[in-house]
Amino acid sequence: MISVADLRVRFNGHEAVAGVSFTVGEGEWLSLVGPNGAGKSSLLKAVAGVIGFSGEVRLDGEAISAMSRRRRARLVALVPQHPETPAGMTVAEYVLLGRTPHLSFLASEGDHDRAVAAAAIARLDLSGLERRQLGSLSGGELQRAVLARSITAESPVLLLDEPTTALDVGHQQEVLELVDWLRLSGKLTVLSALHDLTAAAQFAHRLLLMDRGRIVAAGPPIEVLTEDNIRRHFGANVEVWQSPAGPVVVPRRQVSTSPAH
Amino acid sequence: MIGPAGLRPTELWEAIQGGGEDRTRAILFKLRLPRVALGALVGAALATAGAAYQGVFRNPLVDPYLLGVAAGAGLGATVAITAGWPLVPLAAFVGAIAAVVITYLVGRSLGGRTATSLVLAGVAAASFLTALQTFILQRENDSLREVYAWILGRLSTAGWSEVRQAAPYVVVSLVVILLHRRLLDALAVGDEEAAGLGIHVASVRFWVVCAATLGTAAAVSVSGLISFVGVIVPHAIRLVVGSSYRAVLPLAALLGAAFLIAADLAARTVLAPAELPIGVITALCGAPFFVAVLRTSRRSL
Repeated sequence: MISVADLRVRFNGHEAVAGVSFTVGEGEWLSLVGPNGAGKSSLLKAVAGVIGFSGEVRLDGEAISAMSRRRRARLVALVPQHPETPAGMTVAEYVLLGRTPHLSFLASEGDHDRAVAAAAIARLDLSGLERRQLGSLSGGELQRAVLARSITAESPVLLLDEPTTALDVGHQQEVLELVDWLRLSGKLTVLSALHDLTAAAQFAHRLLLMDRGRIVAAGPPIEVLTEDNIRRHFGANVEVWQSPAGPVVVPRRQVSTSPAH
Repeated sequence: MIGPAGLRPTELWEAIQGGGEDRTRAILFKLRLPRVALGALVGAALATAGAAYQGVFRNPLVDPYLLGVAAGAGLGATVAITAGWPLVPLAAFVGAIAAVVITYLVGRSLGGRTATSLVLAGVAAASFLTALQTFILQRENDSLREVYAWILGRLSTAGWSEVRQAAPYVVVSLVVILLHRRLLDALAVGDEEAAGLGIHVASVRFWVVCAATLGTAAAVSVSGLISFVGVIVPHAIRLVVGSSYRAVLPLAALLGAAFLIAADLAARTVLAPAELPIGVITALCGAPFFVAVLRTSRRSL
């Protein structure tokens, strides 16, 4: 579904993404992991076509650089790390923005667009909040509104940049479960960046470990999340426990600074 | 229809039907109506341009005089008045457009086409152009009063000529801005997300800024600098109908027109037969309103 070849993103002479190639199959969930500044966000933005890049990104075999903006936007929806949610906009208005790629310049939303938006609102359990302003929503509701907007585009590819930052553990779980449910029920292909390694291992089929713009490890979570990889690329001293749900990454405390019992 | 020369409703009715005294007809058709029409045009242009700039720059406090429009128009008018050219409005118009072109080019050279670099370039361009204007005024003391009167803003008409002069530009400006109303709503989620929705952000910004500037320049060229209309009218509308540009933009055109007609009425009658500059009225209403808005919306700024 997504195929990326020798992708490079350059900012002020510095290569944020330095030649990356990979593919994501239809219906697969692939997650990028890696330390801050590894180039995960830049990679996602390049795949969404919102920043300049060199190399090639193909969606269903078609290069995005050859697509019109609207066509590209109908194929990929990007949920950024810090989505801008104008406080005065209502949930219904915000979710309906997801239909933008389907509308020509002079068109306005029709009944079908409203129906799609209403269905997305219902799927994300936001019914009853349509007329509420975004500024009055809780963090969890807001994140669901963002997801509702992104699925309203009905694009086959969903890009998620740290969708669980700033959410408590309950909402983190809720959002990731929702994405997985959307993926299964809507035949979505998901490419995400996640900080929480344990969650990434639980939800993604495969992980790409990035460091300084390059892919340094790729494969099933159990192969990528090794103590050695995490020490080398995150500079973190961790233990990886194998649980029935997948690898669990636990930081190792220095004995001398542990709280007394 | 109210003014220093009292006309009774019955007289007006006769005049509208083509009867009555010549003097009444003249006051109605050559003085009052053109002035009301001009007020409507200028008010609609300034309020809509204000709402459009606010959408493009995602800042509810931005006004139509941003990007050096006022300073450029002021410099153009000053040059024309001191040089004794008859076409003050044209000079103001050219000055306003030139200022925006300078701002745009400087903003681009500052890197990126982000809203912030454009606004900062506008501040720099405005200071520079205002300094030039002050320099010219220093050397040409005689025209100080005339320039000052223009800067304060006034809706004085000589028949329909100002209306004819401004109307085409204002209409083009309103049409282009209104056509972008849906895209302005989408821009509210930020440049990157709007791009993700398939919008050519730089192009939308370019056309809306061009249209808003054209409308502002046309308004400024016939009425001088009338402040606050472009900030308070869109703000008042948002307080009532919310922030969607689909509602805000058409209402801004209508209420901007109504507001300026009312302000002009006050300007003509408060000290009749003398006239207050309309800019004084709008600023007297606008500044306290502005503070009130700041106080209520502080959290969302």
